[in-house]
Amino acid sequence: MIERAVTSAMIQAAKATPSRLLAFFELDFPSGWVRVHSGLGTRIYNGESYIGIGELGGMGTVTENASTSGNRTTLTLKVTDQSLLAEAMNEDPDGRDCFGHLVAFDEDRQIIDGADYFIDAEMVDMTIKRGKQSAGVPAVINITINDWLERWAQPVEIIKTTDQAQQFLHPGDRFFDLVEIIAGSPLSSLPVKTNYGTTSTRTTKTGRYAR
Amino acid sequence: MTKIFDFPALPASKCLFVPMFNTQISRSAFSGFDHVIENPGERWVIQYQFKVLTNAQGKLLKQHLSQLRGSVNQSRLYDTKFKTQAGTWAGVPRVAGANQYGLILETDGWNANQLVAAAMDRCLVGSQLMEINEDCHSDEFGNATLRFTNELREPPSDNETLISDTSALKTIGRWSKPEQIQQLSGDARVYRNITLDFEESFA
Repeated sequence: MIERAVTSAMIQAAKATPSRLLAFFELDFPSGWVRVHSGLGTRIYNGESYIGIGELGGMGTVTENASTSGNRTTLTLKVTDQSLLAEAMNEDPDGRDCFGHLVAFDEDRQIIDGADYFIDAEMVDMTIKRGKQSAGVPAVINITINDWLERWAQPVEIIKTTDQAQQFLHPGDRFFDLVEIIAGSPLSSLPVKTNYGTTSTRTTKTGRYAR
Repeated sequence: MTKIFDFPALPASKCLFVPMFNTQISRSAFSGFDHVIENPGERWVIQYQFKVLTNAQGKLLKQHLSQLRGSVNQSRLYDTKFKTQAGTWAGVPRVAGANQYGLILETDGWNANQLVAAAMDRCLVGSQLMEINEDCHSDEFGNATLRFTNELREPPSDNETLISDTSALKTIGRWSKPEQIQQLSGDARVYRNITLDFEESFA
């Protein structure tokens, strides 16, 4: 989801050459927020401290569409520290927030402005690919993020019209208690509604319909 | 565990010791327009050339390179040509204010009203070797703004002292081309034409 409230200074910075733009990301892991940026060193942005991961971090293509389907992208982090890998494997970030900000720097590498929340997403998947230390191949943590439209497109809740499901949601409510009995009965034994103001019909001994 | 070893004092015939920029350029084939991207992460690149080394010197160099184990360990490297600063560097220069980053640094503690740091001078801020980009004069209060060629990676703490002693101006790097070990084929008396390349390592 692209943020529309972008300042004119940020638009100028985004179009400028040379361009000095860095991506700042916030990821809400169960053990705490992870804040990183694509440059080097520690930088303070909006009162939070971000750690530079430089070329170890990567981001997939950010897309947008006019329909109501979600836009996915991936964030990657190359890891050479095996202990960090074990730590990451114990995290379950699915469904948690992930925000991305695009930040512009001036010629003195000072922060001028930023397009905050140009990615307002949630983490939907995390895979960890083990590297090969002897061959110098780092491990890769791959996090798939998706904007809120995917969550919106999901069914709200899968509700079963059974007594068991109703008791789970609303204990004591007997609204669906006969559903299974009705479902198991032959059609002829069930009361039938019509649109002619009658509540039921039955056949008399003479074969005529009585009301 | 990475170890750091001091590069030995050897008579280099040539020494390249410059910050390398991290920029990209893409050019439009249609309009010829250049789009330049400037990324942080300038790093010192160092190249030593030794025309002739005696057997004893060659042995010293071999020992250092064997300690480096290719690109595994790090070397504390110095510029063999950088002997003096052009600025006065007088006073007790300190970082003025916390959380500073980028290519500029506010400093104080200088002697007043003089060229304290000249262009192409160098200093250490924390453990990072910085190159001064333009002449910096102190004001009457001893304040000065330093401008650097390479970006300050980690914000130094407030009142941290700047180190300008030329013997301390070293950077830590890795041997970027370990295959250069093949050049160390000396004859009975000397080693000839050895070129070694290093790059600053950030961690």
